[in-house]
Amino acid sequence: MEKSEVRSIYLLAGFLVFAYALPFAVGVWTDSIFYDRQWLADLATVALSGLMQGGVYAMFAVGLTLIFGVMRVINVAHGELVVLGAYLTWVMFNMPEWLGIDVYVDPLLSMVVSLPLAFLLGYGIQKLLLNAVVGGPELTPLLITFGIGISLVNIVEWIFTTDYHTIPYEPDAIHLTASIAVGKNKVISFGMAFLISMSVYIFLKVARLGKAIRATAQNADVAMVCGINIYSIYMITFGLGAALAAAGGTLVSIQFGFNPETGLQYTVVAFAIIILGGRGNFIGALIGALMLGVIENLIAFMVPNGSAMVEIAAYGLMICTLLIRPRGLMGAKEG
Amino acid sequence: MAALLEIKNVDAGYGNIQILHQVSLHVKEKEVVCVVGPNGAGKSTAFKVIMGFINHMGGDILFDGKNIIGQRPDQILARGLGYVPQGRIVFNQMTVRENLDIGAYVERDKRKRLQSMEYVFELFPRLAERQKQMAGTMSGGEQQMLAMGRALMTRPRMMMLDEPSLGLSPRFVTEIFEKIVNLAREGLTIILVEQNAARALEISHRGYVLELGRNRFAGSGEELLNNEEVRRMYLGG
Repeated sequence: MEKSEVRSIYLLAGFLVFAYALPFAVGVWTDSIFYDRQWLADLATVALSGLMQGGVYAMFAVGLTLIFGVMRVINVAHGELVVLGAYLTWVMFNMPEWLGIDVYVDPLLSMVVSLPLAFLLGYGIQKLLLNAVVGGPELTPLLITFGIGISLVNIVEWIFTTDYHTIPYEPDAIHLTASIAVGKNKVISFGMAFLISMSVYIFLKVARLGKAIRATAQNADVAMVCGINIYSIYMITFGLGAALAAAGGTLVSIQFGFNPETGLQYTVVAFAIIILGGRGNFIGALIGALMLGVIENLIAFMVPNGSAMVEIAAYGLMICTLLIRPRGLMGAKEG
Repeated sequence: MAALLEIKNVDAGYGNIQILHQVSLHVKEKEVVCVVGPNGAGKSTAFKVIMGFINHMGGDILFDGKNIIGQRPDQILARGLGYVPQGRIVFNQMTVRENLDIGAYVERDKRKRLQSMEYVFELFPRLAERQKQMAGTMSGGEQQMLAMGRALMTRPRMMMLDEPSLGLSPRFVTEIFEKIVNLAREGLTIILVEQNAARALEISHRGYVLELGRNRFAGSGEELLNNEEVRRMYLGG
């Protein structure tokens, strides 16, 4: 490895230590840290729920990094696909009540329908709108996804208004000790996120189609002369990315409120994560997601009125990573 | 005998910049043909337009008597035309075995893929020894063999090799040329682009000299090797 490469990874690591220390420093400065058992238990609870939240973020980030890795397309509509997934789950959850039928649709079960729908949407977007412009100037597909994102926001708003929704789901807490607890819904969504991302990872490693996707990401020209129809790989990849985003949306819907405009926030979150982890790198996206989840919760916990400051974490990590080491923790070096 | 590959008066280039002007060449079945010429002569460009990677601006491209203009590389491969790109590009983060398996992506039958793999391993025993090694960690010569093996996985009728000896150590250059001769003996039709012109002409039935994107000379390998002008300009004496 080159010297500058080694230096930049140390710098990035140093910066991350600094970033994690910052909320503690602010806490000390504003006297909101107490050095007793209860406070430590609260800290553990917060860190744990941050980790759980990171699992949900991983869902968005893995899809985004996959799309970028294969097509070099920055999907600005990613957060909107997340919100769309949340709405699909919400609709299916409430449908029986609207129809006056007495059945309970488990929000997680709704993924059986919402994921294939999202896959088809992503597949169609790539086929009809993006395939024609991939490989040209990078700005063109970015602007197209930007347009798609805005259209999605407006369509969802038109159908569902801007009201906030959420789905009540497993509200009980799981107590690890007497004073450290985490919401059952959060544990379940973390488990779900873990399961889904591992399945995708194994699919990419082992399955023939998965290998073709990786081959296309590594070198599209050579993939073509191996007999891979890269345009069909592009459609499948965008479909897969959209389905992962929708899965993230389902996990969002059972623990946070959402409305049509929440998408932008998740786009930013997913961006920050893949830049930190390394654009196009799957494992990097998982690590980045967990790191962002934890730091966001630390800020909300220790900085007075911290929830207003949470969004800075994503932007800050993104900007500083780009300055210190543009390829992130695990990304490939850009040409 | 009709030509297996024939390009006639082809114009081609990148975007609006034309590189090939009225280039014609053909390769008959079981022939070894090489294309030589100085840098920027359009040798690799000729291969790229055949595979459908760059803008075709005019002229005919026929493979096995059929027009292949406008087809995607994977469709052309499926017709039996294999291609080994310049720069020994392998999938670095995949094993040798995975690289070969991907090479036959068009082949759905797993047994046939395994048979092809056996065939490639016989041809390149070194690859058999390194089946599980990550391709990115192999030497340049081994990667070139892997790239060739990968292109052979579909058992093509014809193979296009773009600068197979570029950047290799002398030992590997010799080995790669030996492999090409072996393949030709087995009946594979081959066209190659080489900067190592003298060596390539020695193993070729015929050769073409391109210059500035135009046909300059054509003839048998021997004729070109003995042609005063070709010797002076391209063979260093």
